[in-house]
Parts: sequence; structure tokens; C-alpha cells
Amino acid sequence: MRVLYSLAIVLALMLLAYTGVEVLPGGRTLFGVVLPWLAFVTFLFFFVAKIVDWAKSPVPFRIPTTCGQENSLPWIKQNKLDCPSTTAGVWGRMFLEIFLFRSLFRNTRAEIHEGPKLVYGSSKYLWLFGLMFHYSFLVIVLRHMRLFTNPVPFFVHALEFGDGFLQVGAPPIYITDLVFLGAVTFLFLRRVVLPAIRYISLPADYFPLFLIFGIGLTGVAMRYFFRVDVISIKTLTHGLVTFQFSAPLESISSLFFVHLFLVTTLMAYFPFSKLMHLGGVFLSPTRNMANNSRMVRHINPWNDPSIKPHSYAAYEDDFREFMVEAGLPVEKELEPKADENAPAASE
Amino acid sequence: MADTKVGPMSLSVAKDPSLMTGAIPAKDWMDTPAIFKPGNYCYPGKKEIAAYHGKNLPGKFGESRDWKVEEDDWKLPENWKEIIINGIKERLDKFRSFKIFMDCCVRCGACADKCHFFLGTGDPKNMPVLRAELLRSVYRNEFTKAGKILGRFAGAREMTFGVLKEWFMYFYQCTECRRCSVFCPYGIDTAEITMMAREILHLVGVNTNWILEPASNSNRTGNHLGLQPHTFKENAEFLLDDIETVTGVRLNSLNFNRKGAEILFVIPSADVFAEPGIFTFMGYLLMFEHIGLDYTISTYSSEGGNFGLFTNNELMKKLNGKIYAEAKRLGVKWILGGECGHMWRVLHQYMDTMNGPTDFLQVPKSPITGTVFENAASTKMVHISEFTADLIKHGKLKLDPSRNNHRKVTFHDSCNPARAMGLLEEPRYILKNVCNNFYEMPENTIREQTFCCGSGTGLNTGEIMDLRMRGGLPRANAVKHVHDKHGVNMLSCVCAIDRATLLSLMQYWNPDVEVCGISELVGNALIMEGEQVRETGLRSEPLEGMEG
Amino acid sequence: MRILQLLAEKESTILSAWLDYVFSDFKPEAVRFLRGKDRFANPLGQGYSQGLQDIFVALRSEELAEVGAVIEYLMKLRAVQVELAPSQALAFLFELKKIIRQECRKEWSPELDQEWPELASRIDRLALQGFDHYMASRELLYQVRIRELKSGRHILTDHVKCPSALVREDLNRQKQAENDGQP
Repeated sequence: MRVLYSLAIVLALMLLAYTGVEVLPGGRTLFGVVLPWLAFVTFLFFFVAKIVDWAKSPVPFRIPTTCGQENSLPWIKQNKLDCPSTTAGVWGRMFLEIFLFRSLFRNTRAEIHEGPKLVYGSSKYLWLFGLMFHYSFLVIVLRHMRLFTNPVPFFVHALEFGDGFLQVGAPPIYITDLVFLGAVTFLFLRRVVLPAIRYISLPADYFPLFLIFGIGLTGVAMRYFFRVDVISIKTLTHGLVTFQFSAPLESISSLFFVHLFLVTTLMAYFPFSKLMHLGGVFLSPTRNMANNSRMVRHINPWNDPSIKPHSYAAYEDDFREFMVEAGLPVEKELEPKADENAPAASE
Repeated sequence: MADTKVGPMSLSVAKDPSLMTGAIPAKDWMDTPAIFKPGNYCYPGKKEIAAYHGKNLPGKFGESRDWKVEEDDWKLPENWKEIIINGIKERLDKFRSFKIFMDCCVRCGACADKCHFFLGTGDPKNMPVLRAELLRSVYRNEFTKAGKILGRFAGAREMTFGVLKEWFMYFYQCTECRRCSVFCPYGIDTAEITMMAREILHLVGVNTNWILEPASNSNRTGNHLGLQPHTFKENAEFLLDDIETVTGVRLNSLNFNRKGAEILFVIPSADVFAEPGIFTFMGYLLMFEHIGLDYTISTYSSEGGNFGLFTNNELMKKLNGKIYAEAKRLGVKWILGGECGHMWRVLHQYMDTMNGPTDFLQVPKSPITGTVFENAASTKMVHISEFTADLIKHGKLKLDPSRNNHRKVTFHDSCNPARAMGLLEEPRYILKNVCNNFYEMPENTIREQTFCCGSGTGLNTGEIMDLRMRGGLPRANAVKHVHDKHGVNMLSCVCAIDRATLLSLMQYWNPDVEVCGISELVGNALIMEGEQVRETGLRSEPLEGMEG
Repeated sequence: MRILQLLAEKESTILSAWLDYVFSDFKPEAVRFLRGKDRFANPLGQGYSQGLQDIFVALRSEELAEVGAVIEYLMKLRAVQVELAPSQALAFLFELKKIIRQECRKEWSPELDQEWPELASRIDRLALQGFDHYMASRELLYQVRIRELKSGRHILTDHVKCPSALVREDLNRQKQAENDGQP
């Protein structure tokens, strides 16, 4: 149900864009110019707002998860990347985490072997497909910069060239297109097939997958199957960023608007969803802090100095007789006998 | 696609008896209630003890009252929901970690099979991701736009008594061991989420006695066990007799509350009281005597462990404050800490922040080797394993590892020293020097991937023995592996809770394996001046070749 | 015996039905994790699936093989499943009879009727063994608990007074003793 519900919504969105463009007067302007802009502004504003909101909360304690040997004695080899004690080490750890998904690479799966023997085997599929998905997504986004820039920057050309180096088909097939769709499919199937993952998945997990798959599919359809008027599209997209709305909207295929509307939805949905892990991963205190809490004092801005320990004086008042009897040193000798009303020590 | 069909279909799917095929979705987790039965929950805090804490830290422990977990009326305050929602709000503003961990999870499932409680019970709500969702769902409902508008579609749900029961059940089936955090691509740390949830539960007086009582003892008498100063001293001195019987040497260096000592030594109090911790304590004492260390033990600050960590950060700070206060009063130069797990979580990651700065102490320097512990330059507290490893490296200990030949040893990395400190090599270095038979457990069950004993964070109580045995199953399983393969008969560790609970775990799953602290093995191997021929180890067990 | 041969032939279906029966004791949603296509593996699921198989193989051998250790391990698992009453914990061993009859109903012949009592009694013997181990495990569990108490940790759970009350009591007692000691 959670799957179908999400799928239904994405299909409805596509239908909405299609009919909107085909039937609604001014629909092309609405879906081609107005909504994308609104979505982009929403995306920017709320993305920044979320980051600011996160940053507003302090990090009261230094709580890195240490995944290797600490920095202690000079002759014990520290694991400087998984248990960094310096800023440089933290940069290294964050680089591995953000660009190579270090923690997912560590993934294991409990497996049973003949014997019977319980083995915790390495399980790198999630890491591999996650990496493929994110990187092909990145390359595709960068490739799309061609539509928003004039002249097109050199790196976009380079990416396009590298991406299409297979030189198969006309136009040449981009490897990232295949990888992207394949990886999204894998991530989706994983959610449906693995019982544990299906059980924890929410509609909010399927929806972005369908949305992104829809974007990929419509994009691929435009490039390889139903040729669209790229010149007009570029006029529109470039116009979007240069505020020149003179594109011949009527000559652009409805398929493009469906594609664009899904992207619009993604942008608007992004800051309110789990997709914000894009920002969160940079701020995660268990990863982006050095394990140097015994070396450098970490300051907690709301540390409450009024919380004091039960004082030694009060402790000694409670137990003085026993302490003296047991030969333990005391600060204050026993009062002369019969003095029942010893002043209460303050906490 | 019409929604009308989706509804009935999901119903039929949920009720379909062909669940047995293992392919059909069962009931949604949000619709599965938590049911308490004897053996699956900890006893609630006694009224007077909750009141004691409430008096010390007003507002943090709710209304003190008598209540029963299995009853449907927990005698919560009328506005309990409001207290909880405000509690969440307050903590979102105070802890960035909490905010980020509430927002960032993508439910990739990498953590799912990493939790020992999940592996041992098979209960899906023990998957770290779902444990967090229990709280996250309420967070979304109250604090996110998506949750407010889309409700259950966005994974949001209202705070109800049923949810509260779930929290009490599953946030007390988490030992804050951080194993899931190692595998999470965003570093989401369930320990952090559990801490928040427990703080919030305490606000409405939902608590457990096993945590509150040791904490109150610790506050008043200085240690969890409630040992008063004279008893504490007697217990410790009693062990000198045992040491003398075994080694023929009467130690003179043990002393208490002595002003002007160079080093304050802080231990988990179980080490002077409960087996097998007392043997670890004997090991400490033997080594200190061996090197002529100028140290003292405090009866006022006789507890390194800190059950405040399992209630809220305020009580943790209050209990922890004693260590520095005592160090200052006694005028020591620096502090040495014994073998304890969560104690070191507090000492390493919280103490200096909460109760520092410590300008009255000096950067720790080993008086024997001259090594300066730069890694403790600010906190001024050194772990006994760091200290001992340094001594061995400099050849300052005379050791006869063959005295541990009757032990085939493996090492259990305790969660907190491993994943909240990074103390991995020091204990191993010591082990390799004090015994001849050391075997590692399988790679994915040690070091930063170590499995919890299943009884941490105040879950080491008798009434949930069944649950503990299940939570410890993954660890027991790995021990069984080295027991079968190498004949391992001793599980060593650097944690007082481990020493108590792994023992029970072994007695149930692997009856041939015993449990010890590292320092016990050090004590066995130490060649003391003027000692007799050792026929037994510290626990009076015959040494190899002395069995007759 | 012919019946043993039949059991060997039907091993996989019987085992699978048996495992289903055992897992039906778990919360319904947990079942899918304990088995399923990839046998979502863990000590618990592993313990059960391997254990049942071992017992079954022993059962269908010419001579009933020794499987005490296997039954012991299974019973240790059962004994810490708090949600199970003892009868439920042991039921799965007896249930094997019904499962075998159900799964073999098509192939059943009068000849097998004659061999059935022997097999049924084998299963009963296994079940009784299970009973012993279950009881031993529960007993062990309480022994472990008692050992914890003995080793002193009961101070934490079993005294019902707050520390200050204890202090007061101690003081009173001492005062009492002093008074008694005075002439």
C-alpha cells in the first residue's frame, strides 16, 4: 500500500502536468516558468532555513563515534581517519564519509554458514549502488548546466564527452543515464524485496524514489526516443536564469513539461523531507568532531554551573562518626558529645 | 489509482493468514502495541528514591509516586503530553545531534541487523532505525511541516499512552552501545536518541529503580552500592588478606582520603565488592605496590560509574562533579581511572565539559616512566590501561606471563571504551604481555564492531534476566566460537558492568568460560618483591602445574 | 523402515512447516525476519533453523542419534523467550507428529500405520528430553540470578530505603549500642 500510494501520487503528478500543459490556457507558462521558479525559491529558502535551524542548536558535548584506535601513547598507532584527534583528521574522515560513504562501506550482514557458523560477512551492495546513484545523479545535474549557461563551461563539455565515451547509439548513450536508472531500480527493489527494509520503509521513502525514477525516465525518453526541440528548451531554461521569458513554449513537447514538473516537485519537496540528509551529513556531531575531548576542553554554552555535587562537607557530616572510628581522615573533628544540633551542611 | 481499493487491500494483506510464507507484509509497526509481561521490563523507581532525586534536581524527575508497569494507569500527571512535547522541544534547542538525527534518517536499513537486542530477540522494534522512529514519528507530528500536513504518509503520529509504553519498553531495550552508529552513513547515534527519550520519560516520572537507586546511593554515599565510608574501607582492606594468602606479600600502600597524594585513583565501586571485580581490584593494588605509586582512593568519590548518564545530563553532571571536587580537596596532581565502560564514556566525552576546567590539576605524567599523557592534557584523567601499557612498554613491570597459562584468554571490547573513546590497542598490548594464550573473537564482533554484553545502561537487573540473556546472545555466540575453536576459558574486559553481567551471560550460554578484568591477569603475572611461590591465581584457582 | 524413507523424501517440506510453526510463537512481524527467502540470518533464526534440521535428521536415521546438545541449545533459546508459557515452549516438539501426518497424508498407506507408533514414541522421547533441558535452563537462569544476588549486587535492588534513611538507622543503632553499653 505504501508503495502503491507513492506510485499513484507520482503518476498523478505526471498526469497533472500533462493535462495542465495540454488543456489549461497558459498552462505552459505556469508549468514552464512560474512553478519552477516558485519551487526553486522554496528550495533555496527552506534549505537554508533548515541548515540555519540546525546550526542554531549548540553541540553541548563532544560525542564522536570512535571507529578506530584513539590517539594515546606515541608508540600506539592511531587510526587517524576513523578516530581523528585533529581538524585535519576530521576533514579526512568527513571526506571519506561524504564522498566515499565510508560508513556504508563498513556494512556487514549476519550470515549463516555450514557448521553451523555465524559469520558477519561484508555486504557492500548498498554502498556500491548508493555511490553509483549519487554520483550519476551529480553528473547528470552538472551536465544539465548546459541548459542554463551560455557559453557552456568547459567542464560540462568534458563531462558529456566522458559520459558518452561508449559511442553507442545516436545520440550517444550516456553511461550515467543507465547507471542512474539501474541504481534507482536497485534501491527500490531492495526496499521491496528485503523484508526488514520493507518493514521500516515509509511512503516518504518510496515517493522520492518514484519521483526520481520518473525524472530519469522522462529525461531518457526525451533524449533517446521522442526527440524534443532542444533549441526551444534551452531558450526557456536559459531564460529562466537570465529572466528572459521569450521562449517559444508552444513548440516544446508536453513530455518536457512532465519532466520539468517532476523536477519542480522534487525541489519543492526536498527541504521538507529526508532528502535533507544532503545537508545533515555535514553537521553530524558523531562524525565531524575530533576525538580530543580529554586534550581540549569542549564548551557547552548552556552548562549549568548551579548544579553542584553533593558536597564533601555534607558527606562528612553524615558519616563523621564512622569515618573517625574507621581511621579515615576528616576535615572537622568530632564535636564534643551530646551536641545533637550540629549545623546542617549546605549542599 | 483509486484510494478506495488501497484501503481494503492493505487490510486483507495485514490479516492474511499466509504470513507463514514469510512473504506477506504483516501489521504495520505503528499498529503493534507494546505489551508488558514479567521479565520484559524493569521495575519502576521507588517513590522515595524518585522523590530524593526530584528534591536535588527539581522538575527533572516528575511526580514521585508508586506505579506499576503492567497496569493501564501509570498515574501520570494530567498534562503529561504537554510535558513530553515541551521536553522534546527543549532538547531540540539544546542538542544539535538530536535535531539532525530526527531529520536525517533515510531508512536505508544499514543499522537494522547491527543491534544485539534485535539479533537476540527478533523484535523488529529493536532495529535501531525503528527504535528511533518511535520518537521520530512524534517529532514529525509536532515539529515538522510535512508531518503536520501529511500525517502518517510522512511517518508522523500522535503522542498517546500507547506510544509512551512503546518508549518505555524499547528505550529500555537499548544499551546505548553505539554499534549502529558505526554503520550509519550519517552517523546517527541511537545512544543519543535513547538518552533524549530517557530524559523525557524521566520528566513524567517514568523511570526504573535499578537506575535511580544506584544513582541516589552514589550521590549520598559516594558509590552505587551505598557502601558507607567505613564499610568501603573495610571491604577494600579485606582484600589485602586475600592478596597476602595468594602472594605472601602484605601490601602497605592502600590508603584512603589522603591529602597530598600524587594521584587520585577512581574505580567502579563494584570492584571492591562483587566478584569477579574484586580480583581486578587486587590486580590494581598489586601493581601500585609493585611500582611504588603515590596514590589514594577516596570514599567520598568512590564511584567512577555514573548512572546519571542513564537518566539525564543534569544528574550525570551532579554525580560526576565529585571527582574533580575531591581531587581539588585532596590536592592531587592528576587522576587515574580504573576499568569501567560507561564511566569512561562520561570521563572521556563529558567530564571536562561539564565540570571543568581543571586548573588546579597538572597534565598527567607517569611518575615511574616520565611519560606525559598529552591526550589527557585538559581532563587530567588517565585510563589504567593506558597507564599500564606505558609501564610495560618501559619495562617497569616484572612479569611472568606463564602464571596465566591456565587461562586461554579472549578480549571483549566494552562498548564505551571502544566506540566513545577508541581504547582498543592498550588492553591488547597488556594482554599479550601478561598471558601466553590470547585469541581474538571474529573480526566483526570486536573493536569498534564489538557486541554489547546486553545489560549496559542500567539494564543489568535481575528481573529482566531473560531479556538480558537474549540481548547478550550475539556476544555469547562469538565467545562460543573461540571456546570451541581454541578452548578459550576466560573472557577478559575493561568494564565493571561487563564483569558482572558477562559472567551471568557465560553461566547461561557458555558455562565453561569465566570473566575477568585485565588487571586481574596483570596481578597474576606480576612478580612481587618477597613473594612466595605462587600456587594459585588471585581467585585462589590452581595455576598450571600446581593442580595437584 | 518405510516411514523413515518417506521422512527423508519429504524432509524439506516438513522442516519448512515445522519452522513455520516454531516461528508462529514470535510476534507476527518478527517472523519475516527470522526466515524468508534469504533466511534473514541471526543467532536466533540460525539457532532454530539449524537446530530443527539436526533433530529431524536424527529422527529419520535408522538409529535415533544423540541430539542432546542440539535440544539443549534450543531449549536455552526457548527458556529466555519470556512470552512463552512452558507448554508453549515445548509444544513444537509434540507438534512435529501432526506436521508429519499432515505433510505425508497423500503418501500415507496402511503399512505406515503400523510403523507410526514407533516413530511417535521416538518423538515423545525427544520431547521428554526437551522437557528436561527446558527445566534445567529455567533453573540455570534462576541460579544465575541467585549468584548475582549472592555476589552482593542485591544491595542495589533489594533494600527498600533511601540512603539517608539507612544512615539514620545506622546512627540510631549505634547510639542504642552505646546507651546499652553504658552502665
